[in-house]
Amino acid sequence: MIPSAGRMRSVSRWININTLGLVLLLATIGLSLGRVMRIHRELFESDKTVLRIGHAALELGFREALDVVIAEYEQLHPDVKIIQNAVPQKIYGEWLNTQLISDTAPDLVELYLASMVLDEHYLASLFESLADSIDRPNPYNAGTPLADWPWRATFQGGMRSGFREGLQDYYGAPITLATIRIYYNKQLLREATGSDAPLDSFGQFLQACESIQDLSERTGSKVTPIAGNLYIVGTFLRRYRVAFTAGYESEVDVDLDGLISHRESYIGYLQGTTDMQASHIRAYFECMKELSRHFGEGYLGLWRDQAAFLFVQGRAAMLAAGSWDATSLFMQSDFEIGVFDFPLPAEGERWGEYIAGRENEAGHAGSMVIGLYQGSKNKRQALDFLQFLTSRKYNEMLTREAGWIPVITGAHPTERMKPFLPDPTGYPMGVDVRYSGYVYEVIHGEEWPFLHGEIDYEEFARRVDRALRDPGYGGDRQWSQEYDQTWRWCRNQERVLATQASRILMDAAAPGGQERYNRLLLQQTLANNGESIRYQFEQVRGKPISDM
Amino acid sequence: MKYEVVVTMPGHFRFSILRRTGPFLIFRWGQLRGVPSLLIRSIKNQRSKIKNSIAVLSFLPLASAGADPSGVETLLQTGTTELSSRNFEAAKELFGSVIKETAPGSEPWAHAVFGAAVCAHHRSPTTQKRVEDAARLYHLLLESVAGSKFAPRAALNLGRLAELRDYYEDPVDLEAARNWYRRVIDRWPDLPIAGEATLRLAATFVQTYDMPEVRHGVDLLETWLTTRDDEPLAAGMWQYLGDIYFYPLADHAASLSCYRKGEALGFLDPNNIGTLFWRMAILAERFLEDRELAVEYYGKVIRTGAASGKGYQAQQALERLGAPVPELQLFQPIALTRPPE
Repeated sequence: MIPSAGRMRSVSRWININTLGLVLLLATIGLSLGRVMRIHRELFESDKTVLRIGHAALELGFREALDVVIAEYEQLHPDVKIIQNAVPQKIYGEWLNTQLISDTAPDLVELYLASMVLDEHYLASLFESLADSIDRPNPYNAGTPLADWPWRATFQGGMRSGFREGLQDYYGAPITLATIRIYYNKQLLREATGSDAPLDSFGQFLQACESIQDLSERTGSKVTPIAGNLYIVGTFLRRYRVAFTAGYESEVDVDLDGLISHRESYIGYLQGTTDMQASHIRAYFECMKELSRHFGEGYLGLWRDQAAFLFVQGRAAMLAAGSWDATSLFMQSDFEIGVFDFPLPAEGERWGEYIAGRENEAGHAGSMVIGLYQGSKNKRQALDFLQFLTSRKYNEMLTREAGWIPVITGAHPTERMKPFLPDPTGYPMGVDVRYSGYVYEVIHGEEWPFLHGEIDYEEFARRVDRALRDPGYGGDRQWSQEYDQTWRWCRNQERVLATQASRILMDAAAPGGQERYNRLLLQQTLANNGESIRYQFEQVRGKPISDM
Repeated sequence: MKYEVVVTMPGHFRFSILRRTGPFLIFRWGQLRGVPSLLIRSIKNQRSKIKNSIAVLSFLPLASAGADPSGVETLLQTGTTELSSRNFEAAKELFGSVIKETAPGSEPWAHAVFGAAVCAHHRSPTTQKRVEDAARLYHLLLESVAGSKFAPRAALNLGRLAELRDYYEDPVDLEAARNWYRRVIDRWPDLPIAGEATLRLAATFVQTYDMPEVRHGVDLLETWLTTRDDEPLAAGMWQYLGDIYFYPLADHAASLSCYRKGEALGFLDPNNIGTLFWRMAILAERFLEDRELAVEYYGKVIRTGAASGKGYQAQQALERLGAPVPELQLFQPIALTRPPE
């Protein structure tokens, strides 16, 4: 039947751009409402205990791995439903702060980036102390050699990354170990150098960079040797700074704690031991200038995502990135990937005589630390899930699925992740005169023109010297600020101590409360209200610190 | 949309719109004493409307409970919980309510006065007025119930107020602090707090970094330790003495000896043990030329303090000294030899 002309006109009157807009608007509202209602039903109308875990690990594979472990847990506990809230790193800090302020934070939260989890005083009032649980065995380790071990002792590194020094308490449990290595495109390296073996020395590394540069020019393929980016360049600088300058420790570590503080670096600088003309310091900067030639043009404008993109597209031959990126890189690349540690100048190579050794990773105590939100309605269940995640069996399952490194003793990493295992050999620290504040900003800022060849080393050294000796804002000022910060810290610790003392007096302290109080008391007493810093300043600089 | 309004009516009554969540408005009114403090906490944390409602309901009877002992007990408990969570503002209101409800001199009253003083002392931002309020409450407690379990800590806290700069331009009065610490030692010599007061007293001399004063601080601690075998802070005191002998006194033998005494008793803080063992090893090797001791402490760096990052260098040192070199056990994925701690 052919519709009449009048009816056609009537229908076509309604088919116009406004109607389409209205339909789209109504559909969007409907979808949004549906989603809000679904989330509401999931969270509030479920007949199960609903737990949420919030994190910023959007790397490929992790969410799926966590889902696998969640499924195992839900099978064991059919009355529990776990939802993960994965939030991009770029907004994670703001997201978490907002959730905490509005009391809508997930039950378990990755303690990362947000000021309210980094500041110990906020942390203590928003997250549960794990003190009651850490000395008891993790029930999910039953039947394993870890069955009788205290939960804390089952972590590689003893759960130290969950420990807050200023609070002398545990506020989180890590679920992985994390290190940074150099990934490389085997095919490209083979084409450029004839071999795809890992590069063992800095000489080989630089030579390979040159060969890749040549290959790029020969073939017009525009391949960058190293995908430099702002996120990782600091790691390169630190790794090599330690390697070149750790040997100064015997001369500048005046408090004999085996570490080189900024203050000790500055004192060494003033005494001429670690100034800009010191042989190892000069060699370090020259080496870094040489290395940065291979980072690619405009690398300071790139972030880790863009650099990784260049690498997986085959437009960069090497990329320094974390173990947490391994799955993303391996899965997205259509070439074979190799991994090696930051190579050091070997004996007989240029700069070889200046090297003390590699920066060690002994201090690695676990990453992706998960805390238990104080406002959780299901704290016991959430803690139970955290113990499940950090049991030997399920931590191994999680990290295997995610392509990460397990943090629990006895949990095996995959073959692919073995090169990423933290290596405790080497040195913990090098000389770093970039104290803080103005001095840090100026020296850090001057590094770039030097590394990019805009100024020569002598000019760079002059600028560093000028910044450090600036009478108003230089090293002396930073020293006085360290004094200021230390006595403020002592005053803030008084708040922690007073709270703990009150808990003990009011019979509200957790087991071990007195021991914790004693540790806090000692820690504060040893700091002497910062006065040892003041005294040392007066001894070294020959003037009162109050002049600053 | 969520908002909170709290309106305090003249006199004893308060009317509050606790929150609005969707179409729900939760109201409450009641006596100022006791109840509103909890409500402020509820508002602040916005846990949920249900929890708020429960809080309101459970505290409604208290509003007219007067000095009901169980009500006071609940308020004290809630105040203590708030203080433990460092919600000083809410805790102070709760303790303030108890102070008004209870007889001066009673133990709940002393508890509340002490709690209120701690809250005033530590509520942020610290101001001169709050610090003076804290001092007034500590004094009130000491004058009214010197026999209370809270009194020694109140006296010690008055010393802390004098010693530390609590706010901008707050003068440090070490002499006043010393008087308070001495008063704690003299008045309660058999309580553990006397040891803490002695440590505090010694520290007021050490922090001057005037050498005769520093030595006086050392004498105070050493005398205390020789007469108090059961001092709970002894290990920490020896460690502190080790630090002072190391710097500024530069008496390396005495420093190492004190550290060893602290170690024999069990260091209070095992978390940074690696750097302390490293210092002990260097003192032994470089300054005392005691190979045996140096080997002992380098070994301890490797076995128990490797997380400090000094394990590898300790291995090198042992090699240099011709001693056996233990393996670094950190990050061995299948090492299950570590005994339960």
